[in-house]
Amino acid sequence: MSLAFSERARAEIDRLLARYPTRGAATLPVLRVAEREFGGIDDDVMVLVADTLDLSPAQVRGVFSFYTHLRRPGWGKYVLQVCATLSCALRGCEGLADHLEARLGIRAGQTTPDRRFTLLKVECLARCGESPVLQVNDDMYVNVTPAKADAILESLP
Amino acid sequence: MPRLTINGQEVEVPQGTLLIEACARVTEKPPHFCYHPGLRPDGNCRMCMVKIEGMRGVSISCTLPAAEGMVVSTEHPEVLAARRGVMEFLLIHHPLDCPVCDKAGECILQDHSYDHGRGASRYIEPKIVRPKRDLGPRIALWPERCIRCSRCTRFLDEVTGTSELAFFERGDRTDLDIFPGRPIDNPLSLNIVDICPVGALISKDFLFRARVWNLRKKASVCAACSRGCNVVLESYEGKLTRLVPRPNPHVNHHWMCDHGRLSHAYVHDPRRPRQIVKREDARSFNVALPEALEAIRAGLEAVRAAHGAAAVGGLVTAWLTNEELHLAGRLLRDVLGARRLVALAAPPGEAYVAKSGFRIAADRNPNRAGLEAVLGLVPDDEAVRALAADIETGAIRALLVLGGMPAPAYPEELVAVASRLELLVVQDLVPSALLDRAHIVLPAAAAPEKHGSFINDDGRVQRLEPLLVPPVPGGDLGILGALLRALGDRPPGGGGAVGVFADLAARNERFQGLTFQELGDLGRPRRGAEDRPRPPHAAGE
Amino acid sequence: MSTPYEPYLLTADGTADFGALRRYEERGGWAAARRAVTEMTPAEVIGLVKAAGLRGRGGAGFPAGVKWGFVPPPDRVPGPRYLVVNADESEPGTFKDQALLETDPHLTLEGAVIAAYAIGAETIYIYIRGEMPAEARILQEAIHEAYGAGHLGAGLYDTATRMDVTVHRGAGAYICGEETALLTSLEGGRGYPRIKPPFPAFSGLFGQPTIINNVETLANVPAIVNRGVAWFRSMGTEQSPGGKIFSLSGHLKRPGNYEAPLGIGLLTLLHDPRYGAGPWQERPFKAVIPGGSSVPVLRADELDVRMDFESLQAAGTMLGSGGVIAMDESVDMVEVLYNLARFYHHESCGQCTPCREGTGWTARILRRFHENRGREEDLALLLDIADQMMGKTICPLADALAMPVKSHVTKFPDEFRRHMGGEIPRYVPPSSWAVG
Repeated sequence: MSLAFSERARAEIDRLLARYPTRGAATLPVLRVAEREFGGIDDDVMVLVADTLDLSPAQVRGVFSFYTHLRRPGWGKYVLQVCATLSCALRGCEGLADHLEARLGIRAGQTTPDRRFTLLKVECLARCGESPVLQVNDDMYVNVTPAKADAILESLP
Repeated sequence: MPRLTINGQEVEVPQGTLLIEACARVTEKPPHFCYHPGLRPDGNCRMCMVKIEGMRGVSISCTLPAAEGMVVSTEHPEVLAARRGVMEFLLIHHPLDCPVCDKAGECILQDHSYDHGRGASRYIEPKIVRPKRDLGPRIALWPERCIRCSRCTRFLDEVTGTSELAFFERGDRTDLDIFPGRPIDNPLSLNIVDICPVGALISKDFLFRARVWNLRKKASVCAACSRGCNVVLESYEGKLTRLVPRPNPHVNHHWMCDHGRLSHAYVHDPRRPRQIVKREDARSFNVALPEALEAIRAGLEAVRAAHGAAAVGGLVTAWLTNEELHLAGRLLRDVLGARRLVALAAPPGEAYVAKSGFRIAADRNPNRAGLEAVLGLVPDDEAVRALAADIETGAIRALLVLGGMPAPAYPEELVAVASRLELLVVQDLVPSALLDRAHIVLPAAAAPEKHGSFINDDGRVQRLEPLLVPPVPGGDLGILGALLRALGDRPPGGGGAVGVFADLAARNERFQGLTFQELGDLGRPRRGAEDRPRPPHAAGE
Repeated sequence: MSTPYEPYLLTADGTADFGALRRYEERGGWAAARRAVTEMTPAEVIGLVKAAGLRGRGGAGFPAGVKWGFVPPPDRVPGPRYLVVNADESEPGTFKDQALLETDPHLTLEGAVIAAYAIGAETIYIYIRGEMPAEARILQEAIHEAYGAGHLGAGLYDTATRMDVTVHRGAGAYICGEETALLTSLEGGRGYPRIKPPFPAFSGLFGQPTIINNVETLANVPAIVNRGVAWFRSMGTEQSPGGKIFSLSGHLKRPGNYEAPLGIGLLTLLHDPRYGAGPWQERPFKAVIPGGSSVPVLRADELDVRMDFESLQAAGTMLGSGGVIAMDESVDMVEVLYNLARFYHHESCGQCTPCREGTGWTARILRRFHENRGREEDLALLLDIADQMMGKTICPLADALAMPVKSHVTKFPDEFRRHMGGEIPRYVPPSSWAVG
């Protein structure tokens, strides 16, 4: 319950706060710091962020839940995002998603039992010219064939 | 002062008037859900649309200031079509459970559905299902009825600054909720139930208690503290069922506190004294008023004959109206020449100032200012102790206790010496040790049973209207008038609130120039008090 | 065109990583900012961009110089001004800003510094999509370099001007590409668009005068300062001067970003071997979305059109962000619309009733078509819902679905009729499924 930011994170938050005229404006950046610090954002983290920014926990949850890219509690070590919007759909992203579902033994939206992978079908990742597109945590892979996807997954530490 | 034309009619409005309010001067306010005059406009429901000549499509009227030369229609075909569209959208996931919904009858979604809806839905897809949930000690949420107008979140952001509620997720998954483990428990929380335009936010206190169209209503003021928030009292089958705020820009704007709403349980408490009781030799009899009056008269006469006129004392409370206080003063000071007249103080509560400036007074004596203006008295336990000392020494032999209060607060010293009195008359709202020792018990009338006026802590004289029948017909004013008559006097102005107020205004300079009728629904400042509406939002915001 | 078009936006090769500044300066980079700040008044910069006729490249096509001119003078509205760079590129079919930021971050930075100088801002916020962490890192590195080289910071080019840049990452919300939603998000809120007026130029970020410009718009500015109005107007059309990056995707042999003058033929973009190089698997095109997913679709017989603001408007569609999505005859237009409806349903912020409910309803109807359970009356219903959404909301997201619905249903009604085979349930019991 009594969660706290590390010394390093607190220093980073102070630097962030200096960049905005209001504390609230740092909500997304501080959630990013918290995401890194705690590996995901659960209720306790939201309370900590709220206290840090003089907001109510409900306000922080309202912001957190509006945005899809912040790590939800329970997500795996690697979040695999397959773009499913039109341009990618025209170039076979469904095949890539099917392949990953089969390989990982989970459906899109689920996490493997070992908590290593979470598979998500997401909306446009702005790489429409190089579809199908797969984002693995912060890394973007383009023109991803099933074979290439296998190689990417196998290369992950 | 822009001049504009609305539905063919020219109108001039103050600079900055929102179009929706300008429309209200000519016709009805355009139908709306998210707009609320006590909150910042948000423009999300898209219902209050109007057609403005020269502008493409339709425009919402709740965020746009009226401007010079605007030509506006609230009934343009495009407007009607847009409204019908919004209504249809709002109902696609709605459970249509009006028959079991608390809000039915005062739900604007229901009203607008009759006026602007289609009658039948074209939606055949699955509805989103959301189970109801608890939001705190006083409020529950029926999320399927929520239309995401954000009135409640804006109230909690702007007025209380507590922000317990927020929208989670987005799009049509947008879900109103609290943060887990952080219930809504602020002093003004129930206002969000009032302003919820639908039956999503429900007061647990009112849940399933009455259909609103069966409620009797009276405009009055709240007696829970000395602020005097304007309220509507509502009853069902003779029982006070609900208090809701009544807008008054001078006092409470659109709001009232939870304490005020929920502090009236004593009115229907089965232990509340409802009979006139005479006690003799440790035996009690229920008696009629004339018999009680005769006993009081005789008792007073005996004491005065044996110990002189000054052997009489009086104790009043700030639950008496100005008119009642006026009669009490006449009785105790002019007729009986009482040695001491003191006022009992209610224990202070917690003061509260909301972010918006809305106040709950720590002073829980609702008519403290009236007590001061009418009788020059201040509620003061020390004065009551001095009275007790006079009883102890035998200087006072007869005591009249008038008005009562919802929670007994008689000092120990007074209770301890009560048995020395040759005559103890106690009028009260609840049982107490003092009441148990009275020779004559008179039931007091509760605020929702009173016709009269209070003065709030800003010096505003405001009317109370009786919604319920007091235990003794005629209430406290009637009892006091009858007492005066029993003692050979007569109440001024015929003894009714209007006449007594007129007498008060004639004799007391603080009431000079006021008449009971002219107090109106919003009250008037007593002479010398400031008369200034407060802005609805906190300064500087 | 008499002289061949010479690209000035996509001139860097490969991925910018460390050392992008040196390569940018070698190509003459940052000279325009220096010149604007040291030799021109803010009013002159605004006048120049106005005269050039640079129109916003984010989608709306509003003249950038005119927008800058809306910022009130300090005696009318005191306090700081902000320049906000809209790098929240998320319109399906559009990936030009991503390319600009990835390959040439200093170009946008330089444009932003010039714009900020023009409007009297000393603070620049770059709001970049959450899903672009690599680009954010590249940008951050470029900013670091620019501070080091004196292109940012206090005493800019030995003047009294100060310039600070903050990169602010979004976190996954298409709506934040809408400029007022972007401001709400930047202030730390849920990405709700705001009602205009007040316009951001008057009361924007933190209630102060604010200009929001798209990445590509700003990337045009240094060249305009360097080469002047006549050069800029020598490209494109009278009403849509200059060059443009067109993002080509879908069924093309060479999808990708291509820079070309505004007014270039759509057929050229699709078929010319320098651009799209024709259909991917040699099947003829059935339909093309010319300006990002939210604009009306064009049928194969409507493709002979020029790619500029006014020509596409005349053709009943829009240039939008310049994202061209090509679809060949193998495509089922019902599935295309279902995909788009799912997207807009997912991305609606949920603030305005018509969008919140209309996007979901539309997506659910189309899901039924996808399951072969469409009804004839659904066609009129879809159009009705689109009408009930169009122009009824705070921001244009509702329109962004309504327009494709209208164009798909009216241009390809028979394709919808092929999805009416199955049984239609009279009553669907409530369930917890969500579209998408």
